[in-house]
Amino acid sequence: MSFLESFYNLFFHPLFLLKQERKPFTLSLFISLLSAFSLGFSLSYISPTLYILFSILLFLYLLLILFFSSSFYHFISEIFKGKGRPGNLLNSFLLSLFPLCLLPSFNILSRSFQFTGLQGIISPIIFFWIIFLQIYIIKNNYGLESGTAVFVYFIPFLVLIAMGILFFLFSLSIFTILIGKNLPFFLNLIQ
Amino acid sequence: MHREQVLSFLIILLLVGSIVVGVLYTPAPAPSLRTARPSFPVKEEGNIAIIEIYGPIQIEQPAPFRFTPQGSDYVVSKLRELSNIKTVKAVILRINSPGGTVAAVQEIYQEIERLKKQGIKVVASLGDIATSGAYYIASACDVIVADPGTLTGSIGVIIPLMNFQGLMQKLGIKAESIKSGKYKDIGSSSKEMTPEEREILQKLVDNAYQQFLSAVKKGRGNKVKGKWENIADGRIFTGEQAYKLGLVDYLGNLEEAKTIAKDLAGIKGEPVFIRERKGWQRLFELREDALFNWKYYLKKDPLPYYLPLFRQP
Repeated sequence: MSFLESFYNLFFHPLFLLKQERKPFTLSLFISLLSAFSLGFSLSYISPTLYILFSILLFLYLLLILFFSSSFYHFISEIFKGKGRPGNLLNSFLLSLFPLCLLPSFNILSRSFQFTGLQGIISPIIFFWIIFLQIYIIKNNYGLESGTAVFVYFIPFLVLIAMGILFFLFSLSIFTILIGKNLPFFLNLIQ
Repeated sequence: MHREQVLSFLIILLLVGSIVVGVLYTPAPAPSLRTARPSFPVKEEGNIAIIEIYGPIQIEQPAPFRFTPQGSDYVVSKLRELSNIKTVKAVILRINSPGGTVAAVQEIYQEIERLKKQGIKVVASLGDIATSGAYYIASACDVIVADPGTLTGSIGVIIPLMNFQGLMQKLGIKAESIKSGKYKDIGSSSKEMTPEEREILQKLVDNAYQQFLSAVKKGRGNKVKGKWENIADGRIFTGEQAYKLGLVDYLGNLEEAKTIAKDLAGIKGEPVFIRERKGWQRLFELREDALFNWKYYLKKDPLPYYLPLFRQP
């Protein structure tokens, strides 16, 4: 499939394209670059230089974060007895960002019609669209059940929440010990 | 070329084109509504801004780890910002302060005068206390509203000094100073004040007092019932006493002040009361704006303001 054909399929038959074993990596890079430039689009109205700089950094950050998350999802999927190629996962993850490319067009539309509410409506839709695509990619790439794919997708977030709670409890226990040891001091402070 | 390829090419052109438009066209300064967006969530029309002046008034030094600006500079900058918004018809100063330094108070006073010259009505709403410098500020307003129990007045100037000489002698501490002029250590707490020094400080206080008095007279001159000597001698009054003397125009709370500001500004219909957005609120500005002002954006004319050719500020 050529670059333009894949691009067409990505917009009009995304699930079909994401199912394919081979997808042009140049398209993935192009989409992620375009997504990075689309994400910080509002900055372009403040300072074009800042916007370009920010977008380039964001592009590198996106590559890095998707690289690590693909390896993490590959690891978790294998735990759930899924079989698939991590390279394909990364490629598909990069492609899954394509809804972000629509943001600038909506931004310009909403500004033209002085209706920033449009941006507020579109942003969550795009956010959920990407989540849906990424869950679909995990499901398809590793041959997992839909429920398992959803669970696998949210595991990193659950781990983060659990770590946050543990850190809070840890800090609380340290604080309690400190108060216990320095009770007279704290009493003075209150008086 | 296949139809798909042409379509893909057009989509790429559209997506990249949108980004290029963003980079090339920095927006023209926004319509009056947008100029104020940084800190006041102003609406389409009939805005009444509320600015709080709490605590001692002074020109504060910038401090690390302070997330919001404080002091008279902050109040002055906010009043200046409001004066540039055409849809702001009145400003309510919610004052709860025991006073402050002369210069800081005068800076705010000047800014209120400027607002009034621009046709913006200014109403002072006094809280628990609005004495001395705080009343100085209030006197510049078109109308003063106070609660019956508000402590106000205290028109005067004071330099509080202490003399620790006796205590230091008992402790065996002797303070010495090398000075370039004989009055350089005027007001020092480690020595007795000489009659000349007292005279100099008295003149200083008198001069500042005259400035204070003339400012209050300018603002309240024809409204005050009674002799200024009996009112402006530093005594404090309750809101009720001040009302009887004409130092205050109405007795009431902040809500009362809002109604008065609305009538004074001649706003027909429901006014929009705005307060400054704090830093963290501005983070959510776009969402909030989109949620609550969508009607406004729908009504606005559809000329794209990001194209400088189409719209002038």
